[in-house]
Parts: sequence; C-alpha cells; structure tokens
Amino acid sequence: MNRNVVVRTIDLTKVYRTFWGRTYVRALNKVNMEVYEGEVFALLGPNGSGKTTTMKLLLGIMFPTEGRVEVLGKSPRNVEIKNDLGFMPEESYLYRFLNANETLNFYGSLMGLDGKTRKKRIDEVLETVGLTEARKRRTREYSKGMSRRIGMAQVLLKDPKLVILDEPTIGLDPMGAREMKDVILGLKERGKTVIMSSHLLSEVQDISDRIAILHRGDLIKTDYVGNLLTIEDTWQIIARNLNEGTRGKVRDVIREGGGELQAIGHARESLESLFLKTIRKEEEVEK
Amino acid sequence: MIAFLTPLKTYWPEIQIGLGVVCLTLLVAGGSLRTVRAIAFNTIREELRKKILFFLVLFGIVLIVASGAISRVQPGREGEAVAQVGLFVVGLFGMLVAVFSATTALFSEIRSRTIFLLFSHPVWSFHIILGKFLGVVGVVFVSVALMGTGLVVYFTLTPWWTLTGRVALAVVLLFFQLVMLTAMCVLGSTFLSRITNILLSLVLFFIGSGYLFFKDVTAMMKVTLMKYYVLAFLYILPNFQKFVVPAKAFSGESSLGAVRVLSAVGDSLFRAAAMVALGILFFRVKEVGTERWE
Repeated sequence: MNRNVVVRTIDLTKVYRTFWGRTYVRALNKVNMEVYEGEVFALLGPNGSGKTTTMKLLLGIMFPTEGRVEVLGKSPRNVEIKNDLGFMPEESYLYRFLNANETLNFYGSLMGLDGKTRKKRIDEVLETVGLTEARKRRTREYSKGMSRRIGMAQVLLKDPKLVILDEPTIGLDPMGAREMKDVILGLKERGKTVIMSSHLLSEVQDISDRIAILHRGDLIKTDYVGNLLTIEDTWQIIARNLNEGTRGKVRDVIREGGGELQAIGHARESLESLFLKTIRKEEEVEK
Repeated sequence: MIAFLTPLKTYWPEIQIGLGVVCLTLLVAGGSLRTVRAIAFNTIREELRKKILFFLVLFGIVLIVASGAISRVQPGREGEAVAQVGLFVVGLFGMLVAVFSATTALFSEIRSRTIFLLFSHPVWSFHIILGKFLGVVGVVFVSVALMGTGLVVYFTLTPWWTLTGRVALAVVLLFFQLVMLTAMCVLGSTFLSRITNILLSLVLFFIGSGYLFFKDVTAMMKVTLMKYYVLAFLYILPNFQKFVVPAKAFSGESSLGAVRVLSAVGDSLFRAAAMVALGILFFRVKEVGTERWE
C-alpha cells in the first residue's frame, strides 16, 4: 500500500555532550523510521530510551547530531509546518499566571487566528475537554488532570494534521485516561496522524496502529501492533456458555489433533474495562 | 583614514540620532507583528502579576516622597538635592526591575518548559527574543512611569516646581538608560545562566555608570597592550553615565541641550537594537531542553 509519509527520520542520531565537548550520553543512535498519514504511531521504551528526545527533534527544539528529520516533508525548524503540528508535552507546561481562557487566547494569537475566530474556537475546545466551568481559574490551581486537558485543548485549537503527544494519559484517573484515548481515536477518525509515547503498554495496545520500540537510543522493532502481538503457533478459542461436557470434548479434540492444551477457563475482562463499567453504573444510579 | 573619520566624529550626535530613529522604527515595526506582540503582552502580564514588582514600585514612590526630608541637608539648594535623590531612587528601582525582569523573562520560559509549546507554534527565534525584550521594556516603562509620575507630581506641589520640566526630562533619559540595560540582560540570557547574567549585568551597569571615571583612569595608563584592551572594552561597553542629568543642570549652571538628549536616546536605541539582534543570532543556534534526556 502506498501511503503518504508524514514523518521520516534518516540515521537520526543525538549525542548529548558536556560543556567540554565530551560525549555525555548517546540518546539516539541511527534511528530510521517512517510514520504514515492517518495512523496512531506509538514510541515505546523504558526511561532514558530516547522517546522524548525523538519528540524534541521532531519539534525542532533540538538539532540532530547526525542524520535528518523530515516532518510533513520539511525540516522541523521550518515554521511553515507548525500550524499543521500540535504538541502536548509530558507535563502540560503552562503559564501559571494565566487562566485557561487566557492560555488558549495566547496560543490562538500565535497561530494567527483573528479575535472572533479565536473566541469561537476557544469556546468549542473548552467544551470538548470539559473545562468550560474552570475557564477563569488560574492554571496554577489546576489538578494534573485538568492541566493535561488544557494541554490537549491547545492542540485541538489548531486542528493540526500531525499531533505529537508525550505520555498523554500520565497523571489521569481511569475515566480521564479513557476520555483522552477517545480524543486520540477521534483524531484518528478525522484522518489526523498521531505520534505518542507512553509507558502504559495496555493503553498503547488499545489505540495504536503501529509501534516502535526504543532501547538505549536504538530502534529495536517497528511494526503493526497486530503483527507484533500475534503468537504464530498459539490459538485462542473464545466461546459463551460452554458446559463441562463440551469443555471436555474441546480438550479431547485438541489432544486428538496433536495439540497441547495450555489453558481453558473463564475469559477475563481488563481491569480498566471493569473499573469504567462499575463507575458508569454507579453514576447512572445516582442520576 | 583619520580624515575619513573626521566628519563621522563631527556629526556623531546627529548620526546617533539618525541610527536611533531607524532602530526605533524597526523595533516598532517588529513589535507590530502579531506574534511578537502576543509574546510581549504575555511577558508584561506575567511580570505585572508578580507582587514583588508592585511592592518594589510602591516602595520607590514612598522613598521619593520621603526624599523631601533630604532638602534640609543642603540649605539653598533644596530643589536640586530632592531632584537628585528622587532620580536616584527611580534609577535604582528601575534598574532592579529591568535586571530581574529581563534576566527572568527567557530563563523562566526555558525552566518551566513553556518554550516547548512556543516552538510547536509558528514562532521564530526572533519573535521570542524581540517579544521578550519589548515585553520587559513595557514593564520597565510602567515602573518608571509610575515612579516618575510620583516624582513629577511631588515637584509640582513644592516650591521647586520650576524644576519639574527638567525632572521629567531626566526621568525620560533614565528610561532610555534602562532600555539599553534591558537589551544587555536579554542578550545575556541567550547564553548565560541566570545568576551569571544578573551578576555580569550589574557589574557592567556599574562600570558603565562610571564611564568617564574609567575612561580617565585608562588615559593615565601606560601605553601597553592592556590599555588597548581596556579602551576596546570601554568602546563596546554602553555608556550609562550619559543618561544621568548632572546636578548643574538643575541649578541652571548648564543646560541639558536638545542634541545631547536626542543623541543619548539615539545611542540607547541603536545599542539596544544591536544587542537584541545579537541575542537573536545566539538564540537561533541555542538548543533548549538538553538538560534532561528521555
């Protein structure tokens, strides 16, 4: 399939040096990857693997030591691409002296939106992220979850083609995390490309199309989530209402076919799904 | 060579005025850019919401009013004494506002990492540096205007009201002195740590405030390589003393002179523009966010 490449890195290397020029750490080592239009691409890796460095290079905040980065076909230092690029950092770095309205107004003016459009868009995105009530409160009074939402609001204000999210659900409660995931999936539905980094593997599994695994600056693996998680020689049967007799027959059929039965038992739902179901049920009862 | 330089030397005040007008036009044109304006207003808002600035200016105004007490020290020259003390207070507190705001403006943006979000928007390095500079100049203007207005109003209510015009002009000159100091601090913030920037700016300000003294001392030095280094340093160093109205101008023994005032203003704007331009160049090649890798 011939797909448009939105981000391309070629032998991307980043070396941090001390004041005296000695190599301090090799944060990225000849990383080659491509991110396609309309997909959710996740960067995975332990702390210090080079995820945030990759993001900073994609934003043009830092310069590569070697290699090249192309974002939307241009250098990330080129401001022409910045109106098509949205970024939400790991911690929502906000101006503590501004309220939500002023924060979005400031970023809106940097985007070149006129006053009328700005006001309309701000009202819309505050509604989307659920901060309309708190729009006049200074951001220093915000909880971590609210800060993340305002970070997402400034991304949505732009309606960018490419969205870069650094640990989008960190610090959010399960409900907030679910809402954030829905926003990301909503972006995907609207044809946006999303690059995100995360420590939370279940979250990545839920919403990503492709993943890249980084370790100590090396890109170890890149592929579709489905391909990476499929265990070729193991099969799974999911069925409802099996009685003991039928389960016994299944065991026999597998044994007769030369297979090895590893487990048969009740299917389990994820803790996240259970939690959300319980809370939503409780809320419905309260209503 | 010297013959070529002679007309330059003769018309130097006029050249400074011309350069100043050009720089002012460029700064105003830059400031009218939407992005620069947004960053400048954001900087002003940030600084004005800090309580410390409010108390600093309030304390300055209280000291200005209290400076009336000093008039008894010099009988017969009370007005001059009060003008000198009042202007010293405006200069000192204005200097503190300029140094601390200008050294913090870019530093806080990097420390709080809000600069990451700035760079994810269509913002060039020059928008940030020019916006920060104009923002701090706005803050200095508000501070000096408040304290200066206090001083001018005080003078209009005293028997020395005839000095009001000169005091107002002296306040304007102090403002342009602080514009130059602000530019110096903004330039420093593109490559120095905050503490080093504050210390270096204060040291350079004090040397520049005693410019003529240091020039006289250098003239007395033996002709060595060191003398030329010091002369070169003094040539580059902004002459902050130029903006201080001498006591004689208040006693009427000398006039301020329009050319001298305009030349000082021109010099301030030209040097400020040059330092901001240099700051933009430094910031263009500066990497932010390298202090932590993930």
